[in-house]
Amino acid sequence: MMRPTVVAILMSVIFPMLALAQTTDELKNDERTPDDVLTYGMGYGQQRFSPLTRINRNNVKRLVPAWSYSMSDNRGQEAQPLLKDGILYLTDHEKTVALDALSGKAIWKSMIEYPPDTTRVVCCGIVNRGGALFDGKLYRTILDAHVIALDIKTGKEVWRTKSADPKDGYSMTVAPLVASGVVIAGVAGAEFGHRGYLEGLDPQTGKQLWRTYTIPAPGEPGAETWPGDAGSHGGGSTWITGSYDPDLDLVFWGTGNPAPWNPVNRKGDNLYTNSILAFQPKTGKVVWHYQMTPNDPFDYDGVNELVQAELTIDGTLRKVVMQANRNGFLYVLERATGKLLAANKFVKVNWAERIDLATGRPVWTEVTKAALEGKSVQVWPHLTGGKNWHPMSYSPISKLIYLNTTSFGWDYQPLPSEEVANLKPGQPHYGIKRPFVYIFDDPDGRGHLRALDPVTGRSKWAVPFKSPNFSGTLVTAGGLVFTGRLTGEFMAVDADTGKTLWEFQTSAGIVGQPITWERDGKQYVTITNGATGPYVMRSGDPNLANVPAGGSVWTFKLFEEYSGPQRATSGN
Amino acid sequence: MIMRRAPPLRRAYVPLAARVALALAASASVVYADPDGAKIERGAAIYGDYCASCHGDGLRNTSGGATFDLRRLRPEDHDRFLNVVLNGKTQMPPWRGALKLEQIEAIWAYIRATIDR
Repeated sequence: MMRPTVVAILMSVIFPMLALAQTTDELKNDERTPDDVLTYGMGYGQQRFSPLTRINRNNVKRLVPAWSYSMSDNRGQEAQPLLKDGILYLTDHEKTVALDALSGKAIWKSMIEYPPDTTRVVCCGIVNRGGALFDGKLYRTILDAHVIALDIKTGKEVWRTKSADPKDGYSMTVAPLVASGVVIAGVAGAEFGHRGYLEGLDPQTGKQLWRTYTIPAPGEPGAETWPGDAGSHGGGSTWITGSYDPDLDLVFWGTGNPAPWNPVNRKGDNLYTNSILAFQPKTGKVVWHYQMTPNDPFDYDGVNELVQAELTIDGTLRKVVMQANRNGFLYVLERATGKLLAANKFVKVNWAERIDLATGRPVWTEVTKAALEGKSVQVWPHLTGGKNWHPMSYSPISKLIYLNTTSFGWDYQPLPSEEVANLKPGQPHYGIKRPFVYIFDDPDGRGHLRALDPVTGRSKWAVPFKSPNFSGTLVTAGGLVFTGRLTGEFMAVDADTGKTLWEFQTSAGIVGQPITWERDGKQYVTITNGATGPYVMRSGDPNLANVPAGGSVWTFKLFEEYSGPQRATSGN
Repeated sequence: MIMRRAPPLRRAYVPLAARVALALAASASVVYADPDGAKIERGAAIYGDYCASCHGDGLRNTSGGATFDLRRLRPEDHDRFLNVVLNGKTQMPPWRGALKLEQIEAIWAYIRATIDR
């Protein structure tokens, strides 16, 4: 009886010291340490670039599955896996799991429950996008707008903090960010008339340290861009993890669309929806902002990931942050100041002619002007966006962005203003006639995998797909780009040409985020499958009719002679 | 009230052009001329805002079995439908208290009209 107690006391003394081994410095260096993946985006700058070359153009044909692990769930698997000390950590809407990375065997599984009416305010997939590792804990969000911390050794809950109430439209799917020792999380819910925010929590206790709303309160700067109290349920979600520049000590986080979608009762710019916010992680204080789509009628939800790079623009090396926005423009801004350096179309766009670099504002076409007057229009891109949430990658070798884009428009038909008035938080906030009609220009090219020059927006190559891809990409120094398809194929293409070099049919559609890592001198690639999302659930795409549900994790390695079962390196 | 069946629907209201459009992912709006038409149209709007994100636009379910394919509902399944909508099932939330019975019946009318057309 005494012995476990003694161990527990000893652990309580020793454990904090061990836990400190996982520190802010490790997070800062994540992109340079390929034997672990500690952050969303494979580095604070979210480049999703790996320096590993053991798997490369010449041998990728020998890539085979090492193991597969069932997530025992039919919902979407969108989470980026994390890896530390040979253990993979994965999340979905109802569980967190720790797996031995070499054998695929479970070390622990920690289930989550949330009230069944939570999913009333989940618009676009019952998902979770991953955890954050820091100080011996895994931090994650839950659909019912809670943030929790788990002990990474046992999966046991250390703390639980209620952030908001789903009855008011809020939900949480985002992978948190740990920056400057603060756990930062955001919310979804603009489709249900919430007021978006970012929140900083204490990693030890879960205590809320600060909250920054994405829509100003009455009297604050920016409030004048909303009529009446429209901003109080005006949306501006924060459902994709921001990137972090430790030198500037600034976090860059995208904000989402205004609510309701129909703009008729919210004339004005609707700050700070569809914007990039640069803020201090310790305080949540916004240092600069830039708005991509003012007064948005088209759900051009500006949350997409903000990838950092150093680019030569007009002969000057600039530290930039880049976003491929749902609205079809690729934005490049100076990290320190928010100055707009480039904004070019990367897909078909007809809502704006261009972005005025001097003012930073879009030059609207007749399409947007008509939509803002309450008229029906055909608009490109579709509300799905030229690129949806699935993250892009950037190679500092090729200086190119690799991303999956869509190629279809939307038959936008707003409802009359009286049908949009008096919506209450927690109720659907669309005000658009159903169904949301897709306009496919080319059924053989509903989407493309592209390599883009971030400064010009021009594609170096573009590979068409019959169904668009909604998977993240990963680029390696081995000259490979990994991504997945809604029909289940996981693939590697040549980063120089886009040519498919390898493909493997997994058991379900892929909407995940591939990672690669190294252990004992061997390189591995890990991806989840199990598809969901508005396109999968509602497009009626005939190519998806026979793709099964059911999520799994897959890890691949180069083929080698069978040498017995893989032994677990830790845990069991 | 709860046990009431939706009235049988006439099939004359779908113009050929709309049928062609519905064969594609993109469907044109359908004009309903008969007295049930208003209810069906109301049901279509409610379905769009509350149901389509999981069950598909126009009932076209491509979830691979993750959600129930509503096109499998037979006319005699009305009570089962009502029970699941009110009380929820697996990840489907209960809509009791959020949707009125009249709204759920309008969704049923829309589902029947879409299947039977």
